[in-house]
Amino acid sequence: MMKWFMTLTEATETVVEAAAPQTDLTQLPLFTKGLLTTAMGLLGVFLVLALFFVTIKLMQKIGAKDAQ
Amino acid sequence: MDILAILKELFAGVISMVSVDGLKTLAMFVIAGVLIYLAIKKDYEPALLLPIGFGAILANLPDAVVLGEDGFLKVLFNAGIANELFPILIFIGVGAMIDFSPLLKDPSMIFFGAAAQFGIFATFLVSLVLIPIVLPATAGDENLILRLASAIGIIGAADGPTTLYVANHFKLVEYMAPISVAAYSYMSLVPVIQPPVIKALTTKKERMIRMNYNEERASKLALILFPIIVTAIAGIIVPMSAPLVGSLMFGNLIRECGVLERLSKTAQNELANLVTILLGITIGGTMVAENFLRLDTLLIMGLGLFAFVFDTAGGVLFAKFLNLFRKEKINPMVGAAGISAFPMSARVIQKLAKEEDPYNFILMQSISANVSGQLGSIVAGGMVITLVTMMLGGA
Repeated sequence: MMKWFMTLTEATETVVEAAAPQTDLTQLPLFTKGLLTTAMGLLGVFLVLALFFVTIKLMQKIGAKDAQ
Repeated sequence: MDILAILKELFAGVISMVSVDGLKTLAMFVIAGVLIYLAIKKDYEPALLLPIGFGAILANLPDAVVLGEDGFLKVLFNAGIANELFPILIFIGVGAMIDFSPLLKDPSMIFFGAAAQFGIFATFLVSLVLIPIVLPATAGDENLILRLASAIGIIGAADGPTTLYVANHFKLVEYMAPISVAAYSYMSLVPVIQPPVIKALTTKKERMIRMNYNEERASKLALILFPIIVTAIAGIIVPMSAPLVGSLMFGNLIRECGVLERLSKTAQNELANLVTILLGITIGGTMVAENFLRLDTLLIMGLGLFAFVFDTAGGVLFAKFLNLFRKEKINPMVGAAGISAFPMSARVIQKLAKEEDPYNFILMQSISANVSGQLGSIVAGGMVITLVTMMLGGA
């Protein structure tokens, strides 16, 4: 089991490394860095709050079932 | 030592006032006086502006003994700001004050907490352009420009502790004074800044939209689970936000668990008040003339205002956008409460709604958006720290 897990971890790391973009973020022009930060930042905030939304909805459903 | 030398030594402070530095000191006294005036006379965030104003007076006294190696303001700075302790403690108190019940009843309001962070990123971009132009000394230093733009953008979070946390994380000690003064003074000016922006972007008809609200309180289990789950989600996705989210949610859990009423009251009152006093006077202590009377301060104050305006606009416009698809319309003013500034922004929105229709009650929806803004601003702070650190190559 442990061996299988180690192989899986190594395989995942190799795939991630291969898929990783070769762009060095530090070398990008200043404004491009800004645009990337803005786009990723806004997306991140919406994503995390969307997860909070899903969580609350799930809790509401569980609460409704309990009430029934 | 002759008499003249003794007198010179004795009255060094008085003599220093009759010089260029003396004029700067006087200018800082005037600024401190304005802050104290706003606190006492206008009741604008007195708990913060008064200690900040008094701290500024102390810091600008000749020789500034309070800022010396063992000076108490220096000790407080190292103990509470340099290591980010005060913002964290404040958040425990804030968390204990927040009731997430309205949000748990109407979770769709949570997206306003994200939309109203638009100003942070818009200001960040504008700052990247303006900083090298207005402050030529920074030109070429991309590292400083990015860090400073981040801290200026976060002023738009309308959330003092998060602003301090980000500025401190990026080691912007010499910019701490104008950044924190901008953040706290604009927070206190929410009743002045938000209404004109909202009115410019909405029609009277839109401002009169009524919204239904379910009075039923959320279940106790949900109120207990919410802070724990939120901490886990935010901490896993945006680890940099963990200290702030964690302390906010810890305070909230103390409130909602139902078995720590004494601790909850202490966090809401004694802890929050004590740290507010120390935080205020320590921030005031950073307002030394040579760090404050500079072009940077004007730039930071101007961009801070821009951030507040665009945050408000982002929330309102997002609500109007949602209304294009919704059958049950949202009062777009509620979107403006998505900026943090809890609970002042929600109160301002309710007051505006009442001005248009005395029987319109949208306070609970505004509070939902407002507490979402509290969460959104922390997550935005964490995102900015993470992304900018990546752009700087992990510096």
